[in-house]
Amino acid sequence: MYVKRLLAAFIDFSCSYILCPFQGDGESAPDTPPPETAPDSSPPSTPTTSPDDFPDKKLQSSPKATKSPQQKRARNSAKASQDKQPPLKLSLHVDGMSVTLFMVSFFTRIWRLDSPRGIVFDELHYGKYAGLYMQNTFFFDSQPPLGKQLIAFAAYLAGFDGGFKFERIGTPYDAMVPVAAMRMVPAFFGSLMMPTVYNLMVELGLSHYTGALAAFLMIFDNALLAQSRYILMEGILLFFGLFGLLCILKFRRFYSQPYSLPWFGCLILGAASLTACVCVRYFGIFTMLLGIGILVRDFWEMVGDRLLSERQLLGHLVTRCVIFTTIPLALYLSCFYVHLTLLYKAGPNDNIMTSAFQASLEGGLASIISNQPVKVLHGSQITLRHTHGRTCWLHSHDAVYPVKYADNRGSSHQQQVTCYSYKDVNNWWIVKKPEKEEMVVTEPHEPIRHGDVIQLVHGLSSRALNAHDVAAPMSPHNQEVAAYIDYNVSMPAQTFWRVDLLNADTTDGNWHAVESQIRLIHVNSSQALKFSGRQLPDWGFRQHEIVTDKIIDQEDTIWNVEEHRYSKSDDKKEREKDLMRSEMIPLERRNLTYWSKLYELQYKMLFNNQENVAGHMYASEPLDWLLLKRGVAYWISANSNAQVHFLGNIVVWVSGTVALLGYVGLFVIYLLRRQRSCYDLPDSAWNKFCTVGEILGIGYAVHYFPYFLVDRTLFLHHYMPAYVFKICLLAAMVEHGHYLLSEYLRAPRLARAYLAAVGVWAATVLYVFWYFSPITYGTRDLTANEVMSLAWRDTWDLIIHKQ
Amino acid sequence: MEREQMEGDEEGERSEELKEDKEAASTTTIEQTEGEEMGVGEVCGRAWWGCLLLLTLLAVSTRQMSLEQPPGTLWDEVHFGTFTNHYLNHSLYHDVHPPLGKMAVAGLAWLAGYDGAFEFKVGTLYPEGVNFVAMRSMMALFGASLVPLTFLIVWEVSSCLPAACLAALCVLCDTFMHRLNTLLLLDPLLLSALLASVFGSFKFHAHRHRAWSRAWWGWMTYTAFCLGVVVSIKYVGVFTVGVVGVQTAYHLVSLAFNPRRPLWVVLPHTAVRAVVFVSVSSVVYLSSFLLHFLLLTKASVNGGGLCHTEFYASFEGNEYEKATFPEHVHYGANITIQNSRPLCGYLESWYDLFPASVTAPCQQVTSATVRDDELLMWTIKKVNLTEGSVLDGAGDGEAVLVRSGDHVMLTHAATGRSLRSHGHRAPVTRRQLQVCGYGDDGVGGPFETWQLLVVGAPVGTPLSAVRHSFLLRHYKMECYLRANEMVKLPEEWAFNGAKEVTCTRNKDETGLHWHVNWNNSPKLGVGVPVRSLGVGLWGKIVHQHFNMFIGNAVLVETKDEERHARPWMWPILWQMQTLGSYVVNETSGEEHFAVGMTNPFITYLNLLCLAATPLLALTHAFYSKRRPGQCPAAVEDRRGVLAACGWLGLCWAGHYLPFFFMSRVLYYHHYCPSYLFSCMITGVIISWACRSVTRRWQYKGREKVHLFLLTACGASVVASYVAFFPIATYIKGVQFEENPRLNPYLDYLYAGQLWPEFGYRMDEYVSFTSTVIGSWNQSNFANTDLNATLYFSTPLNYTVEDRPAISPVPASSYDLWASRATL
Repeated sequence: MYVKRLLAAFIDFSCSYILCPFQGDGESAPDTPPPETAPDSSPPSTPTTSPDDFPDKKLQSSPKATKSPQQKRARNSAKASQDKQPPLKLSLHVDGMSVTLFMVSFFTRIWRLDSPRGIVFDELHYGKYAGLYMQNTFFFDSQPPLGKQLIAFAAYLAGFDGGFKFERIGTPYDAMVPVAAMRMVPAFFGSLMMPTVYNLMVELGLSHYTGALAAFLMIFDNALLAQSRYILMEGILLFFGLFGLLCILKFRRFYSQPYSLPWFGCLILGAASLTACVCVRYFGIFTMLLGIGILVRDFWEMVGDRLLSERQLLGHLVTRCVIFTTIPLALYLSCFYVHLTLLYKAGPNDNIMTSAFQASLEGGLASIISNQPVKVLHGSQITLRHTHGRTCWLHSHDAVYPVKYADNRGSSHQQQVTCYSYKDVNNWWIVKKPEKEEMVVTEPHEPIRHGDVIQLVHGLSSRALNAHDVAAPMSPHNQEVAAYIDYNVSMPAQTFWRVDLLNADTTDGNWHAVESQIRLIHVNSSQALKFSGRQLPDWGFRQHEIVTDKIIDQEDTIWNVEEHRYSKSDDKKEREKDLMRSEMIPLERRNLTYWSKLYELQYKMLFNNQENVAGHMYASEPLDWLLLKRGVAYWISANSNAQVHFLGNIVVWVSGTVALLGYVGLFVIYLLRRQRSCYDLPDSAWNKFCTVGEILGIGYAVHYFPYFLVDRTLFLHHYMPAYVFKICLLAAMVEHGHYLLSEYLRAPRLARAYLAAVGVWAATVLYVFWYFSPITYGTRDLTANEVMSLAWRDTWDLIIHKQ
Repeated sequence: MEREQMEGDEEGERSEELKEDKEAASTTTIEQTEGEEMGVGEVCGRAWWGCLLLLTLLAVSTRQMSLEQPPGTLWDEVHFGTFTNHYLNHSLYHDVHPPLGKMAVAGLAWLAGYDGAFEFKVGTLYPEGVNFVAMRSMMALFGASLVPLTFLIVWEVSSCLPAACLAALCVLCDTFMHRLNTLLLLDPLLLSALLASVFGSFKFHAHRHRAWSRAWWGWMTYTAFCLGVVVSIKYVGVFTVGVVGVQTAYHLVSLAFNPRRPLWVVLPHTAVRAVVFVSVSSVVYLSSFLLHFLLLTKASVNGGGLCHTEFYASFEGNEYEKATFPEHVHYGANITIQNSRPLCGYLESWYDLFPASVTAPCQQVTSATVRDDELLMWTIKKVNLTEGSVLDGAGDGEAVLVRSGDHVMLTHAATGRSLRSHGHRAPVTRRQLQVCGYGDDGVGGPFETWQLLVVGAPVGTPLSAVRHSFLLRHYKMECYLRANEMVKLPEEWAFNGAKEVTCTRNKDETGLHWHVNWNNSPKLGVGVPVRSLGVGLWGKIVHQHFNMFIGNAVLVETKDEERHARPWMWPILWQMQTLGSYVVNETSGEEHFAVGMTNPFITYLNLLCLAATPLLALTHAFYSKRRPGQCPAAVEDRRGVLAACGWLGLCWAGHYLPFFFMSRVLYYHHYCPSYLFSCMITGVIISWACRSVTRRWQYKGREKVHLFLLTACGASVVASYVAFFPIATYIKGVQFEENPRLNPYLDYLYAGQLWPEFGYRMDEYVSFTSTVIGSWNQSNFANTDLNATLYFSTPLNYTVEDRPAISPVPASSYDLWASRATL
């Protein structure tokens, strides 16, 4: 015991190097136990809670402490003594425990970091994105970009040029891919998480050993190791989330010095870190809500403090609100700013964006349309794209509407007009003024202006776009649109359309390709040409329906010209001459403002959920996570049974679930007994117990239960954020067990036996970690029998090559 | 308790006018509000009874108006009319809801003298003989009961007459409640049973201080009974059960936390509640099913493929009625095989091949629900693994019984191909293996060999037709034959309605159990009548539950052409539901439209009050924390109002929020239960607002001001009802005009009409809550490299293009059988 204490004193040089940058007040914030435990609770007889008996412990300040006059006096005297110190004193404090935890963790993560040298699971995506960043190529992903940017930055520093094609899981990496550098980012953040957890636990009022135990369990958990070793987001996500929470908790202890530097520092750093967490993955919003919840709760306590005037309260409220809106907004916007600025070239998923967005990218649509004329004239050949929502182009083909539909309604039997989602030669239409017959561009040019009436002639079939009072096939409340065939029955052509430019001001009333958004208003019925969103059945080749609608002001009636060229006479020379004379779009990309790009990107990210891989072999349900029912196969070597399988440390996993149940059970018992005035725990211990539940328990719930409501494919790694809270709770429960034995039962021998049991248990954790490490690191070839011996549960589908 | 003292001269109701009713309401505020636990009997003010009677009378009379409009079937009347026909003709039908509500509708129709002969179709006029007005008017009585029930519930939670009257008035004056509850639908029954059970549970908890008294027992039994009724009408009743459960749990917890009583008293309380609630409501629930099957004795035509043979064979009038076949099966017999999961159907095959562009081109094996004997017959043959021979059972040899654990080969009788699986992907579910027919004239090898394992019986048990379910485990691939009711094969190359049959390695999948559906085993003699293999009444109930739940799961598939409503649209009246229309004037094209739309005034008032409740709670908490010196009466009043709103809000949320997490098709009328509770909150909040405004009135005539405010609120609600009355009955208008002449107010109040497409588009993009089967098939198909490459049987460099040609295995090469894969 004595040795332990000595050791603690030795490594605990006291105070922060990363986690508490504000050391202006001479109080050693991070390692002083928090207020509740300070005066009477730390049992001196036990090594787990006692060894941090430092002289400056009395000098701490805390919300409770300030209330009692003695402590206030103590604080004042401390300040006075501080004044007496020599003016130029430099002191360096190094928190040895934090450093050690970081080093150990970092070592486990970077050991043989570049093997396996093949694409491991979602490295497929994140590696690909990093490569696309290197090549400045635009991509679409429904999660925010910060994590990908960090990895891309590391790849950039390591000199990656993005030339590797990330094709499928298991593909070996080229020599030029800096795998180790890219994996270093999650490894670094994942290791930084350990000292954060340690300090978080200490901040919650738990002992240093408990904090170290929590960090120990996390370091030697195979699942957390795998998630922070390969190019995945969890390591980064967890670090930012936990660090943000730590700052929010630190913020509590500056209650009595509002608007001081550390007060602001904690608040701002907390807001920034929590935002970064959201910027890595939207799921981080739950961590942020937890942080905000803690702040709100503390504020509500403050409301009860009558010493504060209501004006001061309002001031506090406003400050907090301002900090928690401006900083998140600024960070979020700036990471998207970087994203959009870096990615200026066209890439694989451009089609999902509008023409204007695509035209702002270099080399994609911009290169197709770069030589095309701007002004739409009589005789222009155009493709008309549905601007918002589904990407498709106005289309017609050599097929007619069926005489009768399935519901016995009749149709006009005219040629079908649809909206087609692929580029096709049938998407070309020719703009024609009604009064002119020749469909070529003539001199002088006859530009189409806002409000002009035109006809649209289908390029290949030369039939004009027509609408009439016949119910549309799928939307009977709208009019049918067809390409007009003259059957010589009493059904005249109604082929006149008025061009309504939505942004006529920017183009001086002229109709411009790409940038003009237009509505086509049918002259006879004053209805607008509209994409209805419904799909035609087989007779319409499952293309989308086009109708006219009397409600003009809606997004689905907006169209824009995408590709554009002038029709010339047959004379080739003439055509070339005309092309020379026509106005040209400048070759460089078109500028779209950051805001409009961001708006469009956000809209598509939030409402375009494309990640759903239903029926995945390794998918699991939230309930399966509690006892680690299924892992995920991450990687297997092509010629041996060496593999990476995502599985947690089963001992930690199961003990975590037991601890959770134990906490809930104990809480109910304590509560019932307290209602009946049986105070088993002294107030300080009870407060500590409650704080732990409030932050860790609720943190667990907030990160776990939302998954029950999500209707998409889930994997074990979605459990990681909740799991971290569970481990913390587990460590807290271990301490509480010791407390019960030594304080409540007053059985020091039993307590010592308990400590020994904990030691054995920790050794088991280490052993299981070591036992499963081959499938976490994936560096060792395994025989089939070895693999089978790892499948402790028959639901763990490890992979064996069939001979 | 400071309440407004009314002058004595205003008492009772003075006229039949509605506004007067409001005044009557406020006259007696004082009498009932003295004391917390005062029951109706003690208060018993004339005004209280007057209000209740007047509101009930008004409800009954308004709901009897214009019942003859429209004169034809409207909206879901088509469904419930059809169910009524089934009951009156005693024929079986398939539906996803429990039977009590439909039985009640049928009972009412029977009372009205309906004979079950009219075929309900969309948009047909009722013929002379069908007294639809009588049926609707009986439904309308149930619909009218919502008003007094609302009154009673609000009275129970708030003990405030103005609140109760206002809430009941809101329900009375709501257009959708009027429209919906005067039709031949489930909803009037459901809603009144729902409110009745919520009322019962409030009543029960009002008696919590008189535990074990007779009234306490009575209300508890009553609540349990009503809950049983609600759940047996429609499964949304589960939300009501949840709400009552939360309430019960709350009171048990407060009992446990009560320091004045020992902890153990919680035990008998919990036990009694659990026993009474569970037993009474399940008795109601089960007896509704018993009655259902006592009434329905005839089978419907060709429905055998939709449910288990055991179930189907126990009805009259189908192909099993007079049939007999032997109980056991011998080798060489021709049998038909059906999946034991409802909606999966029979195992069938035909000459068509799977398209080579999708998977290996061998003969299609699918499952189908339509009975076509030529496609369904399979000959079962025994494979002797040690000798490497096949016993086909033909000829005169002795009959060898099929036993559990045997290795068998199944040859399709019409085409001579044997049931096969191999290392190719299934056409749609790409992660599972293909099942097809292969080999000429019944030859086959190891890939056509299956092990037959009877579920729940030891190896060696002879297989019983119909009774036994069995698994078919593939000998080489070690996978199980599976049918999936969710996956229809594309119509481009498969038969219409054919569903996919695959082979899966995962033993936990659904649809692995099969049974012999028809047995031609000539060597075993005549055998038993098939009806005797059917199940009894209890078995029918169990089977019916499988049918319902699996049927409900299939409903998830969203219909593209239907523009259905999402939950967020409901409280803000984003869309209205068009129920139907009838042309009244052929020349002008004028039509009568029936629309489903709540009274916009009340809806937005509800929305306001819903928002006001948390604000009020926050204010209350803030004041009690910072300014303790407030007028105690006001604080007490506010606390009471908040408690009432809390319970009502729980009911509202409990019937609303779960819909956000349902991926099935939803409609606006699913909001109705929540809407009722929202109206109750409105009543409580508005009456509190009037009260607290008057409390600050410094001058004389305070009571008059209070009365005036209440009257004004009531009057505006009534006025909105009058203004929007067409919505409650029918709207005249002409469709396909530039400005449709619907009710002119509609354009302004129906928010969705301003952007009607938006609702649709959101639905297209927001796929958090809906999984469209088509799209997940797509994503499965496209994601070939995500996981399946890792699975040990498929080569790592597998791509769709370089699929190896299918290599036939001759029946004679039995050496292949020996090298059995070991894990």
